[in-house]
Amino acid sequence: MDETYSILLAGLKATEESLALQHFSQSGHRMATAENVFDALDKLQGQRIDLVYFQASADSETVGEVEKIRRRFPALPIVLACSRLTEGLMLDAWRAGATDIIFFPLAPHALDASLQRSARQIAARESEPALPMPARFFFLDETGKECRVNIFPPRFTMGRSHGNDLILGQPGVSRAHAEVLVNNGEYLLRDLNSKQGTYLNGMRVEQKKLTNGDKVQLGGLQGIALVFHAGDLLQSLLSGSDPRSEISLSLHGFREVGMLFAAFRALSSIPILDDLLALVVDTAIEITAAERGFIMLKETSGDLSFRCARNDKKCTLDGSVFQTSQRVPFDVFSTGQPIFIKDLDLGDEHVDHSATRRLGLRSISCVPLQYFTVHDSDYLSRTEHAETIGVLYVDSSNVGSGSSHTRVEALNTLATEAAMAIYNARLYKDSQDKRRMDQQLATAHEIQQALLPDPERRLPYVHACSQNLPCHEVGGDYFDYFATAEKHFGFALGDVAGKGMSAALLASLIQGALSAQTLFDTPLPSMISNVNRILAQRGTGNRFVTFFFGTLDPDGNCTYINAGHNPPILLRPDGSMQELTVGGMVLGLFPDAEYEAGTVQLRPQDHLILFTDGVIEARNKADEEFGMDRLVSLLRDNARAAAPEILARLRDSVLAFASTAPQHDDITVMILGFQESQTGET
Amino acid sequence: MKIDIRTVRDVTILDCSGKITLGEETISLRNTAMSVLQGGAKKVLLNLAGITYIDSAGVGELVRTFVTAGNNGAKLKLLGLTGKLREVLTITKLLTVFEVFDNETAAVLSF
Repeated sequence: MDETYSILLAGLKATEESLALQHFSQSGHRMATAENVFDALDKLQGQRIDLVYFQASADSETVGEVEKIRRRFPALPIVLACSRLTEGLMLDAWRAGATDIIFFPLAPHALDASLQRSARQIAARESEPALPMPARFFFLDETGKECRVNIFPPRFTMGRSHGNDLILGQPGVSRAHAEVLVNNGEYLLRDLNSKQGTYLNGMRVEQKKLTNGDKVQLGGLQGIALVFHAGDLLQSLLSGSDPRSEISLSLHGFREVGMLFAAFRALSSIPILDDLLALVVDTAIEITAAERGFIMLKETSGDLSFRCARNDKKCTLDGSVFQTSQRVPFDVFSTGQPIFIKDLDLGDEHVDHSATRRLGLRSISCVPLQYFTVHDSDYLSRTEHAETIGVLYVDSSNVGSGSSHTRVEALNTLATEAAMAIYNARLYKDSQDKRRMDQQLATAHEIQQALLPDPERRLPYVHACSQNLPCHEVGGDYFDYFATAEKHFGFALGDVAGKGMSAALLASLIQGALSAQTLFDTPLPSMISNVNRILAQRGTGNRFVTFFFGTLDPDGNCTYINAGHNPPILLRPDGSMQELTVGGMVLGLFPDAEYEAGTVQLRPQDHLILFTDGVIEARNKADEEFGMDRLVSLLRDNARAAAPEILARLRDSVLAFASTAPQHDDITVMILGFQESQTGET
Repeated sequence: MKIDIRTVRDVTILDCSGKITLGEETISLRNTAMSVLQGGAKKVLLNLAGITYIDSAGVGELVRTFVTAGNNGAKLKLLGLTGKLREVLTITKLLTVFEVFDNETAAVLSF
């Protein structure tokens, strides 16, 4: 056959899938696989596919699932793969939109024949125009995990029962609760006579057009909330732009949720209290479009103390000159109730705000930071045992542009999550102070380790382990492991210490970029340049982050980008080494910097050693550096050892070298072993 | 860090010696560069031969100074990169951002 096609195998069982994969790849066709109809729809959206071989999840689901694909892709050839025993289903399948049928067990000649039959249709389809990106809903599932579902034309249904596009089991959701009709880029929300109603931005509706940032709730105002978004997902997920630029007000709803999600991810992993406080204040300022903000925390003495004041440029303000309303924060703290004043000029007969108005302030939002001793499993409900540990305050010389319900709710939710994180961070800090007396690196390290990602990861073809020796004065190196879209191994390491950018904030940006990348199949250089642009826009022109990101597949193909980081070392068992340098400059300085991906081939028993400059620059009492020479020679001597072994020897060597000299920088090492022998060498 | 200012032809040369690290030194570099630029200098040469140590904040400040000069319609170039500083600029891949010279005369003539 001369023509080669892009073929998607969807829902096929393992043996059938391997057979088809092998047979078609031999003829040079470009193959992709999907696990089920939903995965297939995602893949079909993200890349050009000429032909789909589809097996339904069950016989009874065949018609519905084929219809789903057909509705979205009117001209795509769909070959239904099924068992001969279900001939009765064939007629329905034709009607549903399958263009061909093939029976199990799959045989090479049958596959070729079906390809021939579909060839004419594939050729006819070439002229079809590219379809626009679908809109989507964002929501949190029962476990609190962030979920995203695409809304495909012409009709997207939501409800409790099985045939819906989005199946929701929350209380108050009817079997066929609501739908979204898509026509010419317009999205119409319609309630389907549900029992408890469909709500849009807090109001019950029968039918209403959806705009960006709208919040849909099913089953009541306590019901499951879905945020509607249409437009460029990548830009929205990563957007850190000035809230007062010309963005339509309807976009703000989504931006608040997006910022909240980014903040949540960051909150769950920041151990450093000051970084955490700054992030919380910055996020609150962004959510409310305020000009300034601060946090006050209750000290052990019971007094409120002023902590972390920031402006809308993410700069720390001097607390001693930060003049503000005295009354509002203390009132919020003592009553545990939030205060939102949209316009101080409008006056309030109960409270005299003249002193505050004289300071030039116009609007104030202040919410309590409350820590709940019992966390209910239901995301939306709370217990009565609340302890107020402080307040979160923002103000502006402008009239408040948002006491929109979305903003208020976003601010309240941020405050709740922040209070929990602050509580945990303070526990960490208190114990850190105690241990500071002790000067034992090992104990401080234990605490830090508890807050970092699991340092060891094993896949069939790669063994990853890392060691982080934190230096409490400085801040934090960032490192993490990922699963890529193709379920390959991804790894990243970055030096953010002392750069005013917390490791956790970078982590949330990276994770956001990665999820957008896996959804839209963006290449690595674009992902990195997007992250760079965001950091550069938020930054002050003089702070940067060094970063290394790589992926490794089972065949040893490693693709990577080195953004100004100490080049990792590829160590071969014979002791030879190679540095991985390809990429681009450090992140966060020049918004238009360009990046290219490097590739390298790993062979069995090879190791990749990644490290931050704290290793090289570790000093002993004679003020000598550990240096690259010592590192290289240690690696050469241990080229045949297993990853954990190399890691342990390197760590011991650095500790022995530095001995009692103080540590000035985080030390992080990550070692990946590719296809180490099963017995593991010692 | 000590910064001496002199002029050769119409090029303002800042002789820097000592360390450039987060804190006083970066602030001092920023202030000196700003005052030189505000004084109307359009050709600025940073002589870093006397720099014994630089940290990432220092590198960041170099970049910011370079961009600020550009924003003020001025050109800023580097002279005398010591081994360590050159190494840091190479790893961070920032070396290509600057025009770098080993020889003062060549630097001055290049503007």
